[in-house]
Amino acid sequence: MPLARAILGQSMLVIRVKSTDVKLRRHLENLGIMSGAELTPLSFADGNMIIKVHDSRIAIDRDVAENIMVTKNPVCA
Amino acid sequence: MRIALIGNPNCGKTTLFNRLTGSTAHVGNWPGVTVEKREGQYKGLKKQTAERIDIVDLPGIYSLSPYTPEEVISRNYMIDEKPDLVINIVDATNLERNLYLTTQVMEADVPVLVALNMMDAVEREGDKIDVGIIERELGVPVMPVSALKGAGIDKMMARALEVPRERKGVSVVEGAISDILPPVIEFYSAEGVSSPLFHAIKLLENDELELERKGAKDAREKAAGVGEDIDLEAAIVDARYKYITTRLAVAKTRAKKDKFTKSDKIDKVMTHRVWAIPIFLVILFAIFHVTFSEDFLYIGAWASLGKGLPGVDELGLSEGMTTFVGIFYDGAVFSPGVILFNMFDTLFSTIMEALGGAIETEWLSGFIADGVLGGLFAVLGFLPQILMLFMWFSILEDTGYMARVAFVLDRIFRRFGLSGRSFMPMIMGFGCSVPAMINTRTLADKNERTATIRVIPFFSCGAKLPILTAIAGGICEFFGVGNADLITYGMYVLGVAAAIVCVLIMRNTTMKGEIPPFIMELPTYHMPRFKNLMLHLWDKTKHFVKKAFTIIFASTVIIWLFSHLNWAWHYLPDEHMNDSILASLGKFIQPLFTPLGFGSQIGAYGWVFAVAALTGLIAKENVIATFGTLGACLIAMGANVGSITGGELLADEEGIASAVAMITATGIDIPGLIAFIAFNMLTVPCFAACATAKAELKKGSFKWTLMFWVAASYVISAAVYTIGAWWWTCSFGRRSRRRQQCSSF
Repeated sequence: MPLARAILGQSMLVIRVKSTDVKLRRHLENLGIMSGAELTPLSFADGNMIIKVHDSRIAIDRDVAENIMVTKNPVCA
Repeated sequence: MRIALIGNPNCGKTTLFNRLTGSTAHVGNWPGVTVEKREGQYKGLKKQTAERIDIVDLPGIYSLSPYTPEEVISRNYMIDEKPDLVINIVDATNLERNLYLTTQVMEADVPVLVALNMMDAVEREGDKIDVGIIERELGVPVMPVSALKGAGIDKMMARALEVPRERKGVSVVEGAISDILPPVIEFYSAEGVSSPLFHAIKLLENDELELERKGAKDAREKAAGVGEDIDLEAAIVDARYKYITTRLAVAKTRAKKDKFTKSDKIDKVMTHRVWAIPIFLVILFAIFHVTFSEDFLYIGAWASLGKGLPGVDELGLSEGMTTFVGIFYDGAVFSPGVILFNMFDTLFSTIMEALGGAIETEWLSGFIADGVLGGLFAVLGFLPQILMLFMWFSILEDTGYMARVAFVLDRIFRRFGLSGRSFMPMIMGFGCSVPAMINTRTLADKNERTATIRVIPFFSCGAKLPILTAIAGGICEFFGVGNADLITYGMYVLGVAAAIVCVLIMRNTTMKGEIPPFIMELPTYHMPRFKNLMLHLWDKTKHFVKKAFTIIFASTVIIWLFSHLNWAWHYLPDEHMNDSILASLGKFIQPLFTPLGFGSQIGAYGWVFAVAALTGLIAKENVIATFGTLGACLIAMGANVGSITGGELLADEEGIASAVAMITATGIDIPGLIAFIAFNMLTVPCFAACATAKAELKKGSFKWTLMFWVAASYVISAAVYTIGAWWWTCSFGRRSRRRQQCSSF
């Protein structure tokens, strides 16, 4: 499911980043958001959201959140 | 020896730079404060080495494949300028993400030292890091430090001097792309390219800067046919993170603790879906209220529901006491900002009166008291309010809240065609347009950047604050209507509204383009740091005072001279100011401003407004300095002619008094005055801001930007005047009609 539909506070695993924008995808990778990464949604605001990746909080807008496909983290579930 | 500091945004590079060099460079709590390279000299360890050590602070960077323009600066410096040592600063509280950059820095042929920063925060959280593991694994010195507390810095520098000046790049991704990498490296080595390993890997990552390099095509051909079936980019990223998690991150042992940190919990409130924006608006209002309000906490307004509070005149105090109490109270309690302003002004007017009385010669006393001091004090008087406004914004910035506001506002900004990222430079614009325009380098999209640079001057800067406050004060004082602080807020709001409308128009016409994605790291909240805050304020004060005694001083002298000399170079007393060189020049351009309400319709002395607006192009403080100089002459003239009066405020505010004098002399109406503020706020900014805009905009774009400023300010001010005048006559006309009806009975 897209990250935008994930549940607040629940650990997620990234399956893949769909965006065709190479620069955007690379920027997300640099921040630690790429397939296999673990992240937790901290806050939603009309589609925009704050996620926790490693030890940092990253704010992203709705379109970016729609393009990050995630699944429940089996380790935590 | 040259040492470059490189690291992720907001990992403490500038704090370490300040520690090493004793500088006071601006440190903020959000990613992207530093957007330029900055140099300084290392001040410690003098005995051990006679060699001069230069330290270079670079903008924060997440990886050596840059995303925004300021990141390019860091990469180019490290690769092309070849510093003798790179200190890679790693935020130890966020080890994995920060080490991602380290794996890339290691690939270049430069000596590296890794500084594990924020070790104090790691210890406070109860975590432990085995520095030895990381050092053995990376093969370069790794030193734990705390830039904020100053711990471990000397040890780190002592070690830095021992690092050999040569190092061959090594990579953790060689294994993942072992069949394709060697031919490319070989090609680059044969071509004599330095750091062949670094360039080869970047080329295979399809890095844009690398693909543009000379010989990139040939190099890529060397590896043609190999590994085309796999996604090289993904393989490289994967190899880096795998290495970090399996080999480096194991050095950190975490104490058991809450899943959510204190910052996460604060964010639950501050970035709340519904409450975030109301909270921000309340904070903004509180800031303006504390800085500008003449009715603090609305005590006076509440009291007037009942009997009301007495004015300071009605208290029956002695004259001295009335002046003293008048600093704090006049029928309402003043806000701290206004109290400070009044204190300054009482001091200044005392100095001026003493000086004016002591000098016998008429022209000399006029020159010093009116010309020089009148102009200077009119501006300096506003320093406390400028500083106070700046202080509140610094506090919000230092806590980390401003970065949240960017996030919260993103969804609103999106409707106007910008991302929330452009909020940071815009809010900086309330301080000064120059750093704000430079900061737009954090914006990845070119058109978004141009649009943002163009509207930054609309966020009224500290230098424009005197224009707003003095004229707003003058309106209340002279016409006895309205509320000075409400007019001031209103003008700030007008500026922001103008910015929104202009961005909307630009993004739908000349600056079209998709709204760039918003991705921003949010820093950890912390208490504002007192020392940091004081440094900000001190820097601002120094800058302002220096400007007052150079540019503004010189301008007031010139203004006074040209308003007291005629074309035959004869001295003119104040009464004959209208025959001066300045007056004839002013009258020449005066008609231009007729549609804005401060042109031909305001009569023989109307040229003073035109002149003031023009001097603002040098520095915006000049507008009120010119008011001060010319207003003082008008008041002096009034003493002789008897028709023009200055303000009769208790703490005779210099800026406001001269505004009142100019209103009396010209008979300008309120819509004209508001249009005058709007024009000065929105028009072509000062020299310094223009030069910055020219440097930051792409070639050829500056002349359009200049035209945009002229057109926007002219159209908006004309609209303000026309609508204001219409509304004014309507409500005023209705009232007089009612009076007629009454008298007919």
